[in-house]
Amino acid sequence: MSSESKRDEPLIISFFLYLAHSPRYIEFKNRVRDLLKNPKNRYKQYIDYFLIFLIVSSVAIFMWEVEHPTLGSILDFYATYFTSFVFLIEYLINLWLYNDIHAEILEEYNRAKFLNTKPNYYRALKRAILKKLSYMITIPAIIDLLAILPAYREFRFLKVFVLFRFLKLLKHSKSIYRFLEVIGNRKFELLTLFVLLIFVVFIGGLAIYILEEKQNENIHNLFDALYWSFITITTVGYGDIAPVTSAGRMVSFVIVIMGITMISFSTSVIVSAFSEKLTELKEERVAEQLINNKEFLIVCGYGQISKIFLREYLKDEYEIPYIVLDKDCRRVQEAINDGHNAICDDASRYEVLNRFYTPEAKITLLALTGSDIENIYISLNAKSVSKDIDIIARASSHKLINRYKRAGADRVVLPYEIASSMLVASIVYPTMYKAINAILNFKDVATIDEIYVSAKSLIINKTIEEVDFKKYNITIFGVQHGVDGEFIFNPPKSYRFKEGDIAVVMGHRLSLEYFKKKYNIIGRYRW
Amino acid sequence: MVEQKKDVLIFGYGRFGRTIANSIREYGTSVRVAVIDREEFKKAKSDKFEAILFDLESDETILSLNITESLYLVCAMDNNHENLFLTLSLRDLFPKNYIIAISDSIHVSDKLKMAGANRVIDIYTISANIIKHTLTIPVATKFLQGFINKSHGYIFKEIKIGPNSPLNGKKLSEIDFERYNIIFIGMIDEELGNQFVFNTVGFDHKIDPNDIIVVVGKEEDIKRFELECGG
Repeated sequence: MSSESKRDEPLIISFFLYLAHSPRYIEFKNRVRDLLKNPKNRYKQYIDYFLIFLIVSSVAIFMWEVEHPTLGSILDFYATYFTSFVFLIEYLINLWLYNDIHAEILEEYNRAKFLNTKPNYYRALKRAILKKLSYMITIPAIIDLLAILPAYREFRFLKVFVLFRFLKLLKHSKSIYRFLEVIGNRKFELLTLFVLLIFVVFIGGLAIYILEEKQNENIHNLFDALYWSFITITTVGYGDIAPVTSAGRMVSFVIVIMGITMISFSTSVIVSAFSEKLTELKEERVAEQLINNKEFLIVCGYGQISKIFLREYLKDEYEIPYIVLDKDCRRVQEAINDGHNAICDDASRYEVLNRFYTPEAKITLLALTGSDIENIYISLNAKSVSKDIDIIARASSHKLINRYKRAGADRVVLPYEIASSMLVASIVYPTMYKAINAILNFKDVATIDEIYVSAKSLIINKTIEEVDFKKYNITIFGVQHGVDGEFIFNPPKSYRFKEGDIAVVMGHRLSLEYFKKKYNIIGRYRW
Repeated sequence: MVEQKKDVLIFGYGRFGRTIANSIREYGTSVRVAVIDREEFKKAKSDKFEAILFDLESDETILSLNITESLYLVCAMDNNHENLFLTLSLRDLFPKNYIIAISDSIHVSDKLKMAGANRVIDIYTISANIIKHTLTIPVATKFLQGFINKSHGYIFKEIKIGPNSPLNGKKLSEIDFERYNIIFIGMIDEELGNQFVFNTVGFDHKIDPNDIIVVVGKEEDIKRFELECGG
């Protein structure tokens, strides 16, 4: 019962301690887990495709071999050993990922240290191995194991094992998996129907056995009777056994009616399960397509602002994909009718936004619901999913700006106050109002644009004077260098463009388009 | 900042009216508020506005609001239907007044214009456009918004060319705006039917007295320019 000092630790414990604290090992395990298990991982689908290919091709070769012996050929080697080897590795990796043996052992070690008792490593190891075993007896693990078996020559006479390769497809094909999932959701109803079916089969079988065992030459025993009953109730009716007495025929009336009722029942159960899941499946598909983009928008709330925004936005040549989220399903329906991708869901819930999050994409979220409380909550929620999500939120008063900023909103838009300022301007400075209104409303004659100076643009290292802005009647309001650069209003003619500069200009839409083409102005700066 | 005193009468003190009344008052313009609702009346009073109650369906109460021809009328009632009816009544009773109506959707905007509003401010369209611009031209949008919320020192200014201005008879291309650190963006020309013309269309107009040119710049720079060239 002496306390163990550090140098008394068995070598294996030091190794486990090393593993538990090695960022490399943890990172590696997490990476592998992500690759195999995380449906959002971009490369997971390639692994799935690869495994599906192995399954289908090896099964095809096995089928071919039934009639055309190719023993010893390269095809045989591929179908038997190569694929099995890959499946074995996949199996072992899954087993490895399931739990950490070293974690169990270390827990025991720490527990013993804490309680000052002798650690029972045997018990800890047993616990860890039992956990692995509990994985091994799950249905997917068993299927995986059986799919490896064709590699053993001794087992090859059991061609049925090839079927397990097909079952393996379930794991890697999403649509088949979903089908089973939907059926699984109706376990109770289907099970009830199944029990009822067995019950009726038995009643019918017993009835026909008692009534016709002597008269009917095709019914030799109870099994024949049950077989007849089952074939009749499923409305298959082979006709190899048929009732010969009136009483027996009466029984078949009842069985056939029961059979049709039950089949239509189970069909409707499955169909209703599907139609219930249909919107969900569709939404999932939309979400999947969206997160495959490098950049996209999430528009929360489908009110006036969102409507107008999306209408204007769709006109834009820079258009990037987007999705509309709203709690109110009627609004979502309206959005769908207006031709947008929309999902009825609550953007203030973590899971909802997390579904759209992928670290590889640049995501901008627009919190545009009519309520400040909602918008603030959505902003906070988005930032809790990831700090990288950019947020533009709508607020009803400037008094709330600080609260929005605290909640993580990167930009706050104040519709009432912008409108008031515009109204004031329209009274006090009518001309300025006209000018800004024209600019904001996308009038061709006064298009405000940004000229992004990339390495490829032809204005790089030129001064303003050297570039013929005047010729195209383009006015430069100012230049800013980079994201956080200072905005230089009315830069002097001697200003020389550097890479990463953004010039704010105004001109006729057509002249700007021409100018950009001429000087190879491509790309743009993102806020 | 306001050269001529402009008086405003705002109808409605709800969601829209309240924000508008307060920001107009900040500009030093005299504001009165007319409401049909007792609650709004109390709110306006407690915000220290000169508030008057009126009845939408009685012309007498509207006529008694003491509306002169130079008064700007702002229809900012929360209820679209009431706002439209009000706009119609005001246009009918006061054909010469400048009426500005607030709208919250494009359909309402069209109706308000048909009802006779001189200017319709569509609250959500402006914001929606700003959001779109923020996504596509962020630097420019920040600059533009600076004019509206006065967060940077630059302003748009109309400058009326007087008879003694040294600019008279000069062509636009001959004027050195850069010297004053201001940018010329357009003008209102009497010869062109008082239309605002942006410099983007590429005209080289000869300046006459009574032309109005529009420039952008720091307030003091514009003042200096106005002093030297306004006439």
